[in-house]
Amino acid sequence: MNEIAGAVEDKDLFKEDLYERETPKEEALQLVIFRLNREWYGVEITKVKEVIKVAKITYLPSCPEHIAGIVNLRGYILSVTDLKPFFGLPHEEPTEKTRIIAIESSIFETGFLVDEVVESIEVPVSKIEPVLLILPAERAKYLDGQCKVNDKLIAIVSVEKVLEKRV
Amino acid sequence: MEGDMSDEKLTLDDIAALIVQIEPTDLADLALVRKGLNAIADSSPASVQRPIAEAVKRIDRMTGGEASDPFGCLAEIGAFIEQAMNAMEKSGGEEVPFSDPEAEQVPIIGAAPEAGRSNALPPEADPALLEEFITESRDLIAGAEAALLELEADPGNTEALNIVFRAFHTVKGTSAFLGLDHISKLAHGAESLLSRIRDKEIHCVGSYADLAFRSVDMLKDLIKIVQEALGGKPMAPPDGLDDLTALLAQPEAAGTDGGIHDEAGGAEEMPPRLGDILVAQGKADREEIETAIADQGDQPAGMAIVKSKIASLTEVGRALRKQRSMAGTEPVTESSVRVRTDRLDRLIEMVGELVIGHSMVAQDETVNSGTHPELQRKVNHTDKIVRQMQDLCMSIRMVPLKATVHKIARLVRDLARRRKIMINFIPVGEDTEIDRNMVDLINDPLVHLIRNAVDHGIEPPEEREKNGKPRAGTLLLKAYHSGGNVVVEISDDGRGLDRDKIMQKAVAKGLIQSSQNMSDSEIVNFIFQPGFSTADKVTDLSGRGVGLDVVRKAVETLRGRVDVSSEVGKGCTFSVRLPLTMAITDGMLVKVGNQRYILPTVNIDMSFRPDPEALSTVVGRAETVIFKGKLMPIFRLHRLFDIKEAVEDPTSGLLIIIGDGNQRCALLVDELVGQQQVVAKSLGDGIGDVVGISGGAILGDGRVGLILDPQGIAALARQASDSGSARKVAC
Repeated sequence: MNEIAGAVEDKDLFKEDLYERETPKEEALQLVIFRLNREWYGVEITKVKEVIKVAKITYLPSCPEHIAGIVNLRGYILSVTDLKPFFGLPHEEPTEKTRIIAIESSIFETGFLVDEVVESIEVPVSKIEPVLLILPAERAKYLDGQCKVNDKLIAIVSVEKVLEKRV
Repeated sequence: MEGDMSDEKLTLDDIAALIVQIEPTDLADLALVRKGLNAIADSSPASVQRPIAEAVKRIDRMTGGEASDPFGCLAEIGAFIEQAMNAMEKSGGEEVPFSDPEAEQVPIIGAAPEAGRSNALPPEADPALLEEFITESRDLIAGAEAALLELEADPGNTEALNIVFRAFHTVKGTSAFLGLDHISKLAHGAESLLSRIRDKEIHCVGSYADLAFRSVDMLKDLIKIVQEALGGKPMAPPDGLDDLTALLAQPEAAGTDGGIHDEAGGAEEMPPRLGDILVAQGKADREEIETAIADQGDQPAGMAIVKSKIASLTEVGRALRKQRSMAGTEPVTESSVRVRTDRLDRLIEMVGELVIGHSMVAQDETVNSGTHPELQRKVNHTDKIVRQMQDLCMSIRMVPLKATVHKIARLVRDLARRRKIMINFIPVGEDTEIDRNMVDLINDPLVHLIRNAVDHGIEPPEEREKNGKPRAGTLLLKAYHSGGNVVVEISDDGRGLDRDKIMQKAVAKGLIQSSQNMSDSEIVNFIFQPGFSTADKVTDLSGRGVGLDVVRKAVETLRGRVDVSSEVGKGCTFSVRLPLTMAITDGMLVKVGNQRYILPTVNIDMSFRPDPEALSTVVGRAETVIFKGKLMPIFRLHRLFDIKEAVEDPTSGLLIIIGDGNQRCALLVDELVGQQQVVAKSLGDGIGDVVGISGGAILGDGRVGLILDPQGIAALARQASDSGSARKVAC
């Protein structure tokens, strides 16, 4: 946290190509980057408890589309949230790369079902832009912003908004 | 125990006092007694030596582990020592002073407590009930005290106020029920004070708060006295009780009376007198003891009592031991600890997972390939430990039904008195164990059934006599384990259920057209229908529209079932079948498409593969099957749950009969995979209730299986048939 205090002063000096140098001098968000279909999304690492390889998901009858089912997480039953309906993405069958990102939240615990977890990166706050206006509002409200990293557009998922919908 | 005694020379009296206090398994004490006896025998006449030799023989048998009944053996030893003492006295042997240190503290029994004060527990008070009352009240009072503190700091805190109010209210109710009048009187006073605070008439500050705290303190003292009374001490209300009760009735007096007394009535700290203990235990008569002590005034009380043959040595010794334990300021060390049930639940769940995790290891190919015998041996070893641990965990939560049975016994007595009938209540198997969490939950259904039996079942004595039955009715409560279930049967020898009356009512209510093709058991089971009461009049006991359907519902939420069998004029038996624990469900694993579900075994009546000719449809849609001559609807689980690739043709699938009464239906599944015990869990955060599913469980392969809820499925099926094909229901 000391870095943040220092970051304000040093901000201007390091303004160029901060990401390439990977100097954590500026206030930054650590994101876990994952894939839904062919799109890239990120979720703040502080909200991620762990990433688990998909065990067989038990389908729950007569439940909304965004509840993918439940899985066994070492004896706990964890509900699995399918993010695709939130962003209007078509459903795809799970593959070898499919993962569940267990989310830690004060609202409740759930896991996000994603097609692939790629990496965890640090993005300076200054690089995060508001969501494009061309997105329909009911999709955009589940996003906190977006950023461009290595020519990839990454949409940052708002954990709170998604969980609110789930409650 | 008294290690300091070992150095001194023991007298016969010391030994006598010792022998009644030692545990038969305490070899060190036995050796001490033996040594002392031998020493005495050396310097005693032959008449004394003989019984001593006999006693020593018994001790040797006990220390050698040959005594089959150690307690009996101990009693025999006591008897021989008594003989020796008598012989010693006759032979004019030197009288040794009674040197039991405890005995010397015993005040000589004096005048009985003043008349008019209740100095004993109510005669019918049940020790088990009192124990429970004491524990419960202590918790309540502790809670009330904390809440009072909060309330004083924040007089507007209605939640804290309610806690205090409820505590006093509960204590009042229970103590009145147990006949502890002064407690209920005090609690009543405190309750009125609090209700005034609740009505915002007064505020819980200043002297009013003091008054509330004093009531709490006084209640604590009173409960302590009840506990002591349980141990045989006479029960005398503490000083200041009457003052406080009067003050509570007129709290304004407290406002003017600035000086609130600090001491909330001093409960006597003196140990109870020996004579009182013996009298309270019914071992001796008060007058006899008083005479005995008056005659031999300068001797210790214990000695005098033994000498005058009012009570045996053993009894006096036992009373002495009791006195000592009661005199101790600290309560006797508890042999149990209280653990939060949620922690216990979590532990049990974890062990359940351990069992599954371990079975995964045990079934691993590497282990079973036979190439690693050493590994296999180790896994087998762990297997045993895990199994033992599981058994232990289950037993931790098990408690005997005793307390429930005792409550019921009391209830039966009261109900019988009120109805002026005679009932012999016979409890059988009150040691049957059941999950702690279930005990409270089964209480209400059982009480309901008991009330029902007393109110509707057993006839008045005159009527019974006319029918050639004994005047007193019999009510049998029988609890036993059967196939992983606890069964509680309540049988009465009263009127029995009137088949015709039930049938008429069923027809009148439109439940059936006629009684054709209906077995007796099917008919009597109608009494579990809502609003189905054949009671002609409403009494304060039952028949208030809360029928047996409530019992059934309550039992079914516990994954149990209730059945009734009856014979007119001979009586009626209700049997409540409950799982041993809610934590573990006995279930059948069924497969539907690529999904597997657990159907609790208790809900399954039978399963079969239907013949094509048994199947038919009504109006081209509603599918039915004829089972045992009865038409019942078929619900397709794959349709209800929207599962693909499931067996569509009932003749190649399996029909499972679930539910009972007119709720019975056949559930179509693909196949039965097997039987399995599972640890039932909630469905996880944020899922809420899913219709047709009562919970989840981790299966042997690590996947989550869903536990089916037959009632929910029936509801889902009706909903589906009502609204065409609407299947998606909001969670």
